[in-house]
Amino acid sequence: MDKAIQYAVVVFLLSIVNVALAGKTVNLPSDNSQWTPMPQMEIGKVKRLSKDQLSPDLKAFAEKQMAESQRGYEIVPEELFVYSSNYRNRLRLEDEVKSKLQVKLADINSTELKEYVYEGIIPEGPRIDGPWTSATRVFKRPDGVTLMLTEWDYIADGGAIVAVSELMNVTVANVPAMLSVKKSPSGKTVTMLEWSTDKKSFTITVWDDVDMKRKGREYDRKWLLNLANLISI
Amino acid sequence: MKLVVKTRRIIMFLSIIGATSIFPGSNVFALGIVSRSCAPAGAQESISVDWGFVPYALWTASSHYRNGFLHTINTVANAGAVGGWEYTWRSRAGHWGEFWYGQVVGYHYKRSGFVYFLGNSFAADCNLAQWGAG
Repeated sequence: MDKAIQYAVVVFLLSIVNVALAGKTVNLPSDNSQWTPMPQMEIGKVKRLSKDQLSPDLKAFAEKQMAESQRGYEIVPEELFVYSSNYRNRLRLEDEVKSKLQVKLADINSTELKEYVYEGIIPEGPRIDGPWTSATRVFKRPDGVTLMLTEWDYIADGGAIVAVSELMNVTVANVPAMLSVKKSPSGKTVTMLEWSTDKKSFTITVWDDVDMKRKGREYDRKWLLNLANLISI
Repeated sequence: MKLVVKTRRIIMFLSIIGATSIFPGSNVFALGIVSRSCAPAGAQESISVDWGFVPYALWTASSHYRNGFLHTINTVANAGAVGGWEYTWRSRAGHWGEFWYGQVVGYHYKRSGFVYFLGNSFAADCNLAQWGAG
């Protein structure tokens, strides 16, 4: 029998089955682990939980990260570093996107970022055409290292955040934060500082290793934390 | 006769692909979330996707509702996922073979040292304009 006709018959039969099922009712699932890996989350809020309060899988991830942090860095796949160059495909001018930005960007004028080269902004959000509830501003440090500041209005997205207590190793603006250095198998490095307030989630990504000693200006952990504290005001 | 059959097959294939595919031609490459209830493709699904191919640790669930019939699927059963978490640029939870229009709700999560609920996505149609197909 012609395969095209066979396909059409299958589609027709399936549509009959669907019509037959249309009247069937089922109970709503009471086990919300079907749609969340973390039932403790609360929409619009940041919660702190211990790793022992997490699901077994998430607890295992957290413990792995803790072990790697003690070593000084986490191992990440090479693919992560694609973004360190292909972000340029995403850059937009701030004036182009300003009218559709729903996230209120932090004022950086009192920070050293205003002396960096500002490359542009990358808008993000649930809708491809905005309004955008998240944005990443990209800067070039005087020594040529790329720095990204990402801000997400999680409340506008109906989002929620959980901070795993044992992974919070620093403090920014009096909230727990995580500073981590990540390395690929080939030796590429990136530093990330993440923290969340009751209004926004922040991430500073520095495509460099803040723990590497260099002559001249020290772009180290102290520098990064100082920058973050000024941004979060 | 053979040419007619072949042409018919090509047309059918293209119409299905056309209903479900769109070039991710927008220059807003970022992590997006989308749901689809796509009768022509038989796809009820929710996807977190970054068309710039940047990977994240992602977890996705998708609830599909039509005429009183509701079911949910998540990424726990995806090949390679650990507890539903995948390190990927595209995390999909969904069903094929469901040729109807209903309501689909997506639940999207991302993990680093924090766990982020990115929000819900909704769809009652193929929703091709949002973050493309795939």
